[in-house]
Amino acid sequence: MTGAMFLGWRYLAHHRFKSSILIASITLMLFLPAATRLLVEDSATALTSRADQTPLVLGARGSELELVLNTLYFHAELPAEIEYRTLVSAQSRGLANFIPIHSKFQAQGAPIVGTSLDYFEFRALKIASGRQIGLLGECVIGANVATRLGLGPGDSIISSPETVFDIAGVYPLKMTIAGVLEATGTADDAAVFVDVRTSWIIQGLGHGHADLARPQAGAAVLSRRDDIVTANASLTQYAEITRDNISAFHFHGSAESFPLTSVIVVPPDQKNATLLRGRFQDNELLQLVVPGTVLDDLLETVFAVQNYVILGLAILSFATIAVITLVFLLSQQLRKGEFQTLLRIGASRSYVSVLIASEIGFVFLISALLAAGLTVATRYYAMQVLQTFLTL
Amino acid sequence: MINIKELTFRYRGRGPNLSSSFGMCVAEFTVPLGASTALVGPSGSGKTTLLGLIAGTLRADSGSIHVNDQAITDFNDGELGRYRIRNVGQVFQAFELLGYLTVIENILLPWYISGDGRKFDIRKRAADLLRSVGLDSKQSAMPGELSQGEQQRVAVCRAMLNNPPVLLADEPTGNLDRENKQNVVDLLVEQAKRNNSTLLMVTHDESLLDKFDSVLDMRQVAVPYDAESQR
Amino acid sequence: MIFLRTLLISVVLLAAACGGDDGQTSSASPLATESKNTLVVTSNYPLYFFASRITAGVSTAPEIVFPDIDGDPASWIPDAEQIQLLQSADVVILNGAGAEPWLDLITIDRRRLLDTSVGFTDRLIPLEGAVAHQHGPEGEHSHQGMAFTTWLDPKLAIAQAHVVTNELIELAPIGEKQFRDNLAKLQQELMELDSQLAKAFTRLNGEPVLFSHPVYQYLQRRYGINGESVHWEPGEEPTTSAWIALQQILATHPATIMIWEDEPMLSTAERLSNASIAIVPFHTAANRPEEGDYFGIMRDNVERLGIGR
Repeated sequence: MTGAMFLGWRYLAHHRFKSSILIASITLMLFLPAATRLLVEDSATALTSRADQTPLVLGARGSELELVLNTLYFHAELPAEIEYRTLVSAQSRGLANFIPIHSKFQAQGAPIVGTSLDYFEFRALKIASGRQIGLLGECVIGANVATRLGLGPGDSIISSPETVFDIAGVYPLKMTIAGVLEATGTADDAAVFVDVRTSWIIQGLGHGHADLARPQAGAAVLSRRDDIVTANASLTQYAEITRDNISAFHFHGSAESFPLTSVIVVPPDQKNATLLRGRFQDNELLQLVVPGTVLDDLLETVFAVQNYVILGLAILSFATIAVITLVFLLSQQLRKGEFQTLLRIGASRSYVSVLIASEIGFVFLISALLAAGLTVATRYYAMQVLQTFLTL
Repeated sequence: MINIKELTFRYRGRGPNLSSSFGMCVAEFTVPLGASTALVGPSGSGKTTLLGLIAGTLRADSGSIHVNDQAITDFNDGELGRYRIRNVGQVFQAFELLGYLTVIENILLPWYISGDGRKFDIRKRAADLLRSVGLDSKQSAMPGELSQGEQQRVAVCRAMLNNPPVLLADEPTGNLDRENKQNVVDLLVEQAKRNNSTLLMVTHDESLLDKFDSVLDMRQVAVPYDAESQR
Repeated sequence: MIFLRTLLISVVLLAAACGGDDGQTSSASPLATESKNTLVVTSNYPLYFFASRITAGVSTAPEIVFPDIDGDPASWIPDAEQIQLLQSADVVILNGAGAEPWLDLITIDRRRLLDTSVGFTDRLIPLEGAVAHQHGPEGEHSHQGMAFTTWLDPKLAIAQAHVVTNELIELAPIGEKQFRDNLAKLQQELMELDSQLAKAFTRLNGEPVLFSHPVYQYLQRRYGINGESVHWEPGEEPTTSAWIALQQILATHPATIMIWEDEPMLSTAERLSNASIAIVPFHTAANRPEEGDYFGIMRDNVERLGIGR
């Protein structure tokens, strides 16, 4: 019967166009539900994995989902800000480690995350090349940022101005890249990490300029009265922090009033976590959320939608199978003469049946292999696709 | 040798009136081994039916058909299929090559069906056959790329692949021009002689009859089926 | 035969692979623990000296490191390697009182910082002559703060040494007794230094003194020195206005001694000499000396005070 299979294969190979259409249809029919399920499951796993690794998140009262998405995935939708004093005050009680997050700005399409060295230890982020952030104004970038922008240690990246037309708004800051992080397959790969004080400088809460006390300040001085010097608008602020001008950088106001978008809270044990949650439960201005719980609610909706999508695809599959069956039946009709020739030459009816079956079998086998290959490729590239989606 | 005795055959009609179906009776019919015989007669005289009965694609209602001492009327469907593929080479008026196979693959079609013989030997035989008909360069061509005469020559090679003792040709020159008719008939007769096959060819073309050892008029071989007399 | 040989080799390799880990585990004593080398980095030389003296002879003590700093640690901005050293330290011992302005410029885990002057913030001396500036809506602010050479007052130095000792005990509890013994010896020596300095400055008898640089505030307070400070650098020629300002100071503060961080330029020395002002180098010991140690520097200072007188 290998002869029959050979004839079946030759028929398909000769009628490439028809065969390709059939294979493509069946491949899609098999692949789409699998890919949908894969993407949904992978995204759920990715979301829950990162959420489960993050015990608690502290932020301003409001949308819990917005708070969690911005903290975990540096989502562009910003929660309301809280003051740094919240972290200082909470830290002083010694119930947990508090990691500041200030994720408000972007640099060439990548979110700038102002934080502390604790974040890197918490997320087990390692330096692939270069070194860790050292001086103010330095940054380390995620692996995807490095690849996308073709940057490495020693290069620079400029923060994006919030608005081109706001003259008094946020100025871009040119940051030196100290290092590139190892790829982790998480949202960290697509981010630019700076000391939280650097992000405050980007926000305009700190800056560097010539020393107004020196006579060289010249035209930038509006007036000198006793020990108070007032500058005028011509005072140039440094757009880049270098070793030469870093001493000139300073902040106005108390750091405790400076903003954070959230705080990652890492209690040493469940008891401390419970105590902390109790402390913030009735706080009108702040909320302490469990990211896993927040995302579970989101995922319930996602899975419900997934089921509807797969149901729709299943209905479509039935229709596809019906059409494919019709195509095969019509094909058999048209090939009646060919089958008669085979019978007349000496083939048995079962031989002809095997020939037809092998054609159908080859089509389904190739489709199944293609669908499997596409599914594997989807699994391989799913995380990159998801990261792009989750950090937008 | 082909021997038919007291054979009756009737095509089944669609209605309950069976007497309206075509049928024929053959009292005695013999074709010697290795002989080439032209089968002539008016349309409807049963020429194609006779070939079908000898090939085993049609079943006699009664009587016997012996082909080289094989009583094919006793065969079941499977045995008939194996008998046909191994013992009968057929050439059809419409060539009936498979358009999705190359020339050499069309010739190998009987081997794809039977699986008899070693692949190497069979492929060599197919190539030799193709060379013998002057189409060696067309091995990889598709049937659609050949002229009608070339297609029929390929069909003859296909029929000869398994060295069949019986070669049946049903108006193989019907779709060919004058020159190709002569060439194809010469080829059939030559291949039959070379292989010592018994050739039975249906034809309406009288100009071809002198190429055969004998000519049989179907009216002398079979009579129309008489339902009354059979009852 | 070949099959058997192959099988035998495979079995041997498999056994070796499985046995390797067991071999390592079984040879290690369950009681032997590898002690992690705790790293302590200090922000100036005096603290490095104190920590080294306190940990002397204690094998389980942390490693004490003071980075190689060019020039005055107060104006030091760590380079990349030095920042990595600070970041990798288990504890960074700071002088505090604003002696480490570079702290605001680097990224470091603030929980690992130990401020040795936090216990006497009420005794810190604010700097005079701070210039505030303002621009924009934020209002005025100043860049200067506190005097930071606290180690020039042996009493404050002792307080700092205590803070260092407590931290070292936290890091290496096994060495507590030795640490405390070493601290007692250090404290004794600092008290002796205090007496020597007191004696040296008492001989001034309230005589006006000039300081070349405003870094002697704690010395001045401790020993009741009647001093005024200018802002001169040993390696720089004072400007004409600087000399004029000096004259103005001398008009109301007729000093005959000028205490310098280091030997001034010859021209400066000559001119001061012409003005009957004796130069007394008094090294602050903020950075690691090429020769000697903290006490060596301070004893030399005491000796020069006597000579200068």
